[in-house]
Amino acid sequence: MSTQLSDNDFIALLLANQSRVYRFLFTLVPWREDVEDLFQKTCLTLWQERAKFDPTKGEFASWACAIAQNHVRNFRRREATRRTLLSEEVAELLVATREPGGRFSEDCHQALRHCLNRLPPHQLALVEESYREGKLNEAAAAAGRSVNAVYKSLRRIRAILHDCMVRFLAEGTTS
Amino acid sequence: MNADASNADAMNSDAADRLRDWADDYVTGDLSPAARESLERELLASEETRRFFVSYLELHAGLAWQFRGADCELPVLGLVGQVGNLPITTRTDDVSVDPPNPSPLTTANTGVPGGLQARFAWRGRLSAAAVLGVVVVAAFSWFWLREPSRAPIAKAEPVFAVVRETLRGSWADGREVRVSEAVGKGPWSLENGLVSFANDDGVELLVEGPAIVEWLSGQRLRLMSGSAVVRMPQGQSGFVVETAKMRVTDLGTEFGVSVSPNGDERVQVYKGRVRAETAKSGEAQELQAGGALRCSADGELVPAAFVEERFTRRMPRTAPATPGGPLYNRSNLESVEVVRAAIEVSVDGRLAEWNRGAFFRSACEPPYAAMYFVEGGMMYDAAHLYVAAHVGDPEPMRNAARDGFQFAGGSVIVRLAADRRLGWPLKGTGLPFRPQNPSPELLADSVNERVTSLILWFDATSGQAKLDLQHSFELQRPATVPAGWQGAFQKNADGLGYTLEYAIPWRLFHCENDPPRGGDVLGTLWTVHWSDAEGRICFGQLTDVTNKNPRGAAPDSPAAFFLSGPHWGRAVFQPEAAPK
Repeated sequence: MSTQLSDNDFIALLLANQSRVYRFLFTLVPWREDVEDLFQKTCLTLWQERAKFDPTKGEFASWACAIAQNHVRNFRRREATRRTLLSEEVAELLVATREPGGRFSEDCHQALRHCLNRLPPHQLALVEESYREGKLNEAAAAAGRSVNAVYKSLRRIRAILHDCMVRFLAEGTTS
Repeated sequence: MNADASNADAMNSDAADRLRDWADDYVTGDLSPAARESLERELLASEETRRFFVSYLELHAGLAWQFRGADCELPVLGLVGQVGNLPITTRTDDVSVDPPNPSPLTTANTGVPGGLQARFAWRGRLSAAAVLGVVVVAAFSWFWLREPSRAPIAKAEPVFAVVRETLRGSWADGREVRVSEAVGKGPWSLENGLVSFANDDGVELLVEGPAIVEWLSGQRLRLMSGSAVVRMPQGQSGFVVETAKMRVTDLGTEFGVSVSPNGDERVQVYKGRVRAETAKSGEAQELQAGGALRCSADGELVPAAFVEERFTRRMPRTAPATPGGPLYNRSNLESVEVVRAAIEVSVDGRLAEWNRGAFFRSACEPPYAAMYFVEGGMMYDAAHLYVAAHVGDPEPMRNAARDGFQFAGGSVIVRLAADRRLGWPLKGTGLPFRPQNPSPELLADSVNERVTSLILWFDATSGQAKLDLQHSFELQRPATVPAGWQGAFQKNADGLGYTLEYAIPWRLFHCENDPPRGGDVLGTLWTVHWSDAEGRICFGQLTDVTNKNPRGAAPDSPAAFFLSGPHWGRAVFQPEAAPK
């Protein structure tokens, strides 16, 4: 390997950054099953190409997200006719909006953690149930409510969370 | 970030609701072509709209990640998980491969076995040798990182437990904790990290450093400090955790026990039940899942709030972003100057009033020196001690650590013996380093409440600068931190560190009537802690400003210098203000 990283170190880096890669994919391809598929492919490519990662030349997350983006491009070419995807131009702009190194993304992630802590337990439970399997009908069954009612509640909770995130980001880090 | 986020905040609520609706429809696949066109028009037109939209997608993405089912494994882990029954076959029938990546890499012509195809939805032309190579290396690597050895090498007999997993674990002597290390009788100190142990009966113990633990037998453990979670195999019970003030006996369960540095002891039950007894009176209480008890200072068991996240119950998915052995430093400073504040200090984390050229610098050992360091300074006036620090930290201001261990989530601790009569070097010590029958003078120095530790940290949950106080070498905490202090944090523009600034009234050192003045030489010690990305698990620390020729019993590790006054360095109070 041309890099100084051992395989163990590489796996540690991969583990440390898997959340970033996953979230990056999710902002480009919003369907859960596709993201899982792309995530698996991306991680496998990262592993196969690990010898080409040079830690002195850049951050692992940037390198990993660039590879993830390649997989997304391939996915878009395959799926463009079957899915309602945002245009390539808009997708590229969204990537640029996340900022080099994903700093905006990390700030959002931190804001989300902050806001989740403030969610009442029953709302948190609904979010968890809905996102755990990504199936609203199971969350609805668990909550003893109709799918439609759960869907509306989820939208409302997401709006609350998002308002909180925007406020958190606006307030910045100075206390 | 702030300006843009403010813009987003200012977006009118109709526009915000519309964007969220589109984003929700996009995520659920319900976005109509017409709505997509409208959405794209708005996204192309405005950076503010794009940031708003991306932040909402980040919300979806973050929730999806956070609540992702436990059965979704990392691909590399998945590979290893199937190593035992790998069908090493090649598939050439399905070659609708992803084309080579245009940049920055070209995809190697390797893949995974057909047996794994369903799992990874991977279609590719495979080479058996390449497959074997990938899998074997992955298996070896993952095994090394995560799995217990089937044949642990005992270094202490009898062996009570074996390290099963470690996340940045390091022992008191600075040695990295290794998977399959055996632990026998006798106390040991986990300096940092999170380490999982298993004994022959299948009992799992998850210890979060810093912690001091002693296995007394295969089924009995003494926890002297730190926190531990015990998980029993189904159908088993009887494991005992003893602390200074209580004994907790498992009755078929999962439970956590913690002993904080100031002696606060707690037990919390996640599953099943336990019996908790006080050492003082033998009073026993049975505690059910969802219950928690605290052992008061006078040794009584009192109800406590059950806080799910008080203990780390599982090895997190994340791993350190910068692997490479223990994170620690070698102290190279013995003395720091405390300069007189020339002008009024505005506590905003920007350090406009400070002469940063006069700051000391201390860094962790390679390969961490460039990323993990502190540049610190102190100033004073008649009313305050001022502390400023710029800390290199790849996961800055994430502290979400458990009660009593807030320092572990990322912090700066500044200790100062603010009693002018003590001078330097200090003599007082904490209990572990005090002789059996200390002289009255030594005892007085050890319990002197002007010896004050300032624990400075940013609470990511509340978004606030925080201060904890401890007094004397017995680390007495006030019930509440008195008002009057100020603190502020600023994150680095590059996201790789933070700057803190505090003003602490001398009243909080109990020395407002005789505060330090120019010419004084007093004892001081600085410690910095770093954590994981979640701000919970301590990955390492730096201790500096230390006495190079201390007298008395030496702690095993600089991490324990805070309990040994003779090891504290010098704070030299300058009569004159430093030129800005």
